[in-house]
Amino acid sequence: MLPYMIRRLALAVPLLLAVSLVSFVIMQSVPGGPLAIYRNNPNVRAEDLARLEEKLGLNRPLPVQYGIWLRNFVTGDWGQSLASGRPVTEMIGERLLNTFYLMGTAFLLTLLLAIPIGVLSAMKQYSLFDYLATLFSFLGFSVPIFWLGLMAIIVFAVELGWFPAGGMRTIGLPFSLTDRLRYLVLPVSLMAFHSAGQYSRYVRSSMLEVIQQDYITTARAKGLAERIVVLRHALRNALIPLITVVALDLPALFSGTLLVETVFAWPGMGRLFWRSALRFDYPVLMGIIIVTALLVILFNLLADVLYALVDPRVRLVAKGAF
Amino acid sequence: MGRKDVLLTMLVAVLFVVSACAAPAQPGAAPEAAEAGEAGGGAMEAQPASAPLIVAMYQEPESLNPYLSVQTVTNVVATAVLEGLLSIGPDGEFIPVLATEVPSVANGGLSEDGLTVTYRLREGVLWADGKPFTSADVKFTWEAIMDDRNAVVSRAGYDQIESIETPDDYTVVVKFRELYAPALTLFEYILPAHGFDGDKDMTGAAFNRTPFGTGPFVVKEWTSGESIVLEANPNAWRPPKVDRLIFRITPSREASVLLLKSGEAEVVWDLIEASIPELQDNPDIALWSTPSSRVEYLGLNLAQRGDPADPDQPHPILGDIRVRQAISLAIDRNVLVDELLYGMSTVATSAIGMGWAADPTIAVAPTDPDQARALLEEAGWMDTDGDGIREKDGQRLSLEITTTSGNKLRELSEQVIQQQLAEVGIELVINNVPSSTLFGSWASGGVLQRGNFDIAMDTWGPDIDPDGFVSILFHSSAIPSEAGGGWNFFRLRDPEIDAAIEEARSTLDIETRKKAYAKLARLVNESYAYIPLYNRLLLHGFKGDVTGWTPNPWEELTWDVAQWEHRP
Amino acid sequence: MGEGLLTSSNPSAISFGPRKAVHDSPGRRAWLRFRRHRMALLGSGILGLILALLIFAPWVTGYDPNAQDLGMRLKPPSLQHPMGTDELGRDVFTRILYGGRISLAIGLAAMAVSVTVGTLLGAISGFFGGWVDTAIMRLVDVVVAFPSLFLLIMLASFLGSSLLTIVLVIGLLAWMRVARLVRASFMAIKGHDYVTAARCIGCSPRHLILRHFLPNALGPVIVAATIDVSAAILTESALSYLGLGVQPPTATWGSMLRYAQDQMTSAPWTAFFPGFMIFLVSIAINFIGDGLRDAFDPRQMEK
Repeated sequence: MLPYMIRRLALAVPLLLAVSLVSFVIMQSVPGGPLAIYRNNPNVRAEDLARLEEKLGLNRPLPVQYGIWLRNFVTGDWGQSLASGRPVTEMIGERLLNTFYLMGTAFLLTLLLAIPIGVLSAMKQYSLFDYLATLFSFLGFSVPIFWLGLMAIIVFAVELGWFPAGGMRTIGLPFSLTDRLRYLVLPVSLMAFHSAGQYSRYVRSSMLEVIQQDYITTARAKGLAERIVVLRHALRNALIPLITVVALDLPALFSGTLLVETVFAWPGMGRLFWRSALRFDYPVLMGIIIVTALLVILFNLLADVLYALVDPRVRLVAKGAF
Repeated sequence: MGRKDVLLTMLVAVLFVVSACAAPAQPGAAPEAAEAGEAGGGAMEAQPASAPLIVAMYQEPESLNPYLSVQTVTNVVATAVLEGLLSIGPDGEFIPVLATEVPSVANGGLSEDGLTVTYRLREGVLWADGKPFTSADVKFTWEAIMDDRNAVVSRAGYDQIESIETPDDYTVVVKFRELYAPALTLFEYILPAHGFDGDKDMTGAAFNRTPFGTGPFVVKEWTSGESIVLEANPNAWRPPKVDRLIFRITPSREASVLLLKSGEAEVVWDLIEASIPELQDNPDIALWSTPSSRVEYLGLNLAQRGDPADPDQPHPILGDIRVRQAISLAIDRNVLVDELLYGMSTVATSAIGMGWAADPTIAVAPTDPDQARALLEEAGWMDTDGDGIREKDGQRLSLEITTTSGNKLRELSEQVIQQQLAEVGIELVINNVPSSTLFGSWASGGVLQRGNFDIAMDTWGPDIDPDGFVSILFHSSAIPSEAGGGWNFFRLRDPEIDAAIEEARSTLDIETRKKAYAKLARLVNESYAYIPLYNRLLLHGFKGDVTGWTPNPWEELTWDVAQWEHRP
Repeated sequence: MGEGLLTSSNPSAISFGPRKAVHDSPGRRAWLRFRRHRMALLGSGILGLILALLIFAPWVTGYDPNAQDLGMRLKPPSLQHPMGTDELGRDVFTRILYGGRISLAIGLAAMAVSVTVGTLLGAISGFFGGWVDTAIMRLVDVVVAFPSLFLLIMLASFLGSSLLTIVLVIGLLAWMRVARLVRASFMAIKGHDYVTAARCIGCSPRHLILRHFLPNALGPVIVAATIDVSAAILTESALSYLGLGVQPPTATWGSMLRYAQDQMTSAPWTAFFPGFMIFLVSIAINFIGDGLRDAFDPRQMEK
């Protein structure tokens, strides 16, 4: 297992290089550029643009720009935002915390809802509970999330005034847990409603498959209690597909979701990224992409390791060349 | 068995880490919590009783140093903190702020040749930290702008200054190399020299995020993506009437409006006309609105479109002035203003519609579909196949219109114009692109720069001094090319227009300049390359319990923030 | 579909004889099973009705979807305009019908792209394993590693906003989940005794994939595919929201929703109906997908 993990981590280096190179090429080939926002301002004349290009290093050949970025990045200097001049690490750092705070809470609630619902649904297939759970899941992932979010704000914030319409805390007040929770209620329940359905479908689906397998029949035949059969034998295998799906979603814990952040005015990574993309703020974009890519790689590795732990048939060391 | 336990442990561990990490994130994200904590429970009672004012804005400034950023939002915040020598009043007149009077030839502030401007500064003004404001700060501001280490966005005008002399603490003598007509518009914001420890390198200075000035407020804290908190400047010579001003950063205009409606904000910066019906009938909300000098217009490409276009090859359809005039005649601008703008703005008459340089005698362009049809027929465009669209020599009278995608008002305007042109037999196909593609540089394939369009829809307008605007838009030297150029993307070449622009910039005599700009505005209208549609509204929303504000089309929303009162 | 898989490829001995005699029964059994799934039937009914309305739109409504009537701006639902009018006085019901054609076409086409690409790559990866698997999975990693909105923006501004571009962009950014599911299901089944047995008696890879591996992956893929359709419709609305959707005056449900955003409280019908239609269609499609999953589950058939 350990050699496998080391090999996978070593593979991350060329992967990150590829990601950074591809991103750099794509960004640079899209029309616009960081100076585009100045171009229709009569006070920013051709000589001002030329001076800024020189100052920001945008007039150098692209391979040189990439090389400089890479060299600095490796030595821990992620550069400064072209727009604000602030260090990229600082800008990403402050958003990471906010995003994790929102997404982590939502994710926890999602799993706490999804797994029991999925299992119960499968155990009582076609029962009233199954139908209600199915309905709940389908409602959740069929509703356009920003539409529902806006509706929720209009009802609960504008009309009823129960919850704030957006933001993370009451600005200017000292820290208070209840204040923070008030701001979390709407976005977190919305996100849990949206994705718990999806996850519970996967749990239900693979649960149904597993309980028809021979070893479950055997376990039942041995006279084991249904609860034990389900929890000890079935659930363990049924969670395998869920792990692969969850691993794909985990990086969102840090990268955030633009739509939810946008609807609820949450100062997270999604919005930082979106804003930087519109602004062609290359250093910030590169920083976020690399962080995201790294997280994806780590969580995939985690998924594979967990996968091997729960499914004895999968042996990581046996996987061909890697 | 053992393996299962490992799994469970790991799952539990993951969940635990998720929840555990979430908790410490809270105090981390709220650095002020620690400060408040040491004050104990009494922190709240110690706060001033007056309610803070919250301004919701859907953009975040990149920097609060107005010279390092040219965004409007930067200026909205900076205007509450920093002051300039002069500002511009609602009617377009200069108002002294840190200067005691507007320099003129009469009061000796302007030399006869216009090359020397002398400002007398207000005495006794203090910076927020208690240090006196003097002429040295004005000189520092200029030197910092010109320092090559700073990524100053625009040096327009400042690079025409030969020297600044400070004979005493309250006199500034600015000497220009050559005549610079918009001289009085410079020095909109004065920076404190000691705010940078006298170092003219402003890169990475703390001041850029937490500036202080002579204005009514100082920036206390800026939480990225969330808020900028300002407090009253204790040394302000024009003290504000509220103790705290908070700018809340929201992701969209819609989110800002919802905050206003839910009572979480008192002011919304920069609304669009589409919000009018939503807010107009609400008795608790008042609209700050005024037509602005920004004109929504159609730009017609006189050159054959291509990538890049050749300015010497006329456009096969738009190259004929009769077709261009027919387009202007077919458009009913009143429909746009009355319906899309809810009658709150005005039909635009020319490129220079407001301020001293505007000629009020220029009439609104007529709407006459019959004359438009006659002109098109005269030009040889007939509907021979009965599909409602005209043809000539096998070519359909079909044109593409482009603007920035995602702008609702423009998209609605396009669709209304599309229908109006269809009635005279012109087909308009909408193909919008992101603004970075529309305004991109020549090298990056920008649509306007390269001339790869038929008709473009855009908003632009002159500052109080139109020189920069008209030079970059209508002068033949501003036709874009690989070597540079400006924004004459119409590829308009008219020696008379060039002459009028040059005449207007050659003197400080206001009458001569007025006449030249009037002539220019008429020539541009007669070219039908630039078809003005309507004046854009400047629109902001206020809660009814906020008073003291006055609309001003030339300055930012916060130009009179010291007068704002909030009495819930 | 079931029949095609069984009869087309059959060099081996075990499928001969008895299989032939009942070769159409799995399909029929699936259909019977699907018919028992009440929600799936409900979903089919809703979707069928909506599709009929969209297809026969010119006969259902007398209005032109782009005909403006500026005197009738933002009027609430009435007998003349059952869903009210929009900001240019156009009939919202008519725009819902014509816009629905485009929204649905985008959703289905993008799903087809993502499922085809995902299944193909996932199958190759899961079946062959080794360096092929590694290469494909690293490709998945690279694509997943990019924030998809970033690629959407970049590609959309690259290629312009045509329908084909939107379909390709949405489809090519959504195949990774299917690929992973197919691969995971292939890997899970690899160790099963019956696969080892089939391998031992000399079954060809093609036979193995089509007869044993793919049917096993069908359930999860169908579930994922149905989610993809609604996701594609939602992504289109997000693109519209960001201004990268179809060009006006063409309507899609997403673009109508976006236009409605700043009049949500003063003219709620302009926001409610497009959102509700997206919701209705995606829930119907998801119910159908659920029914299909149960119907095609190979082990349920053997019960």
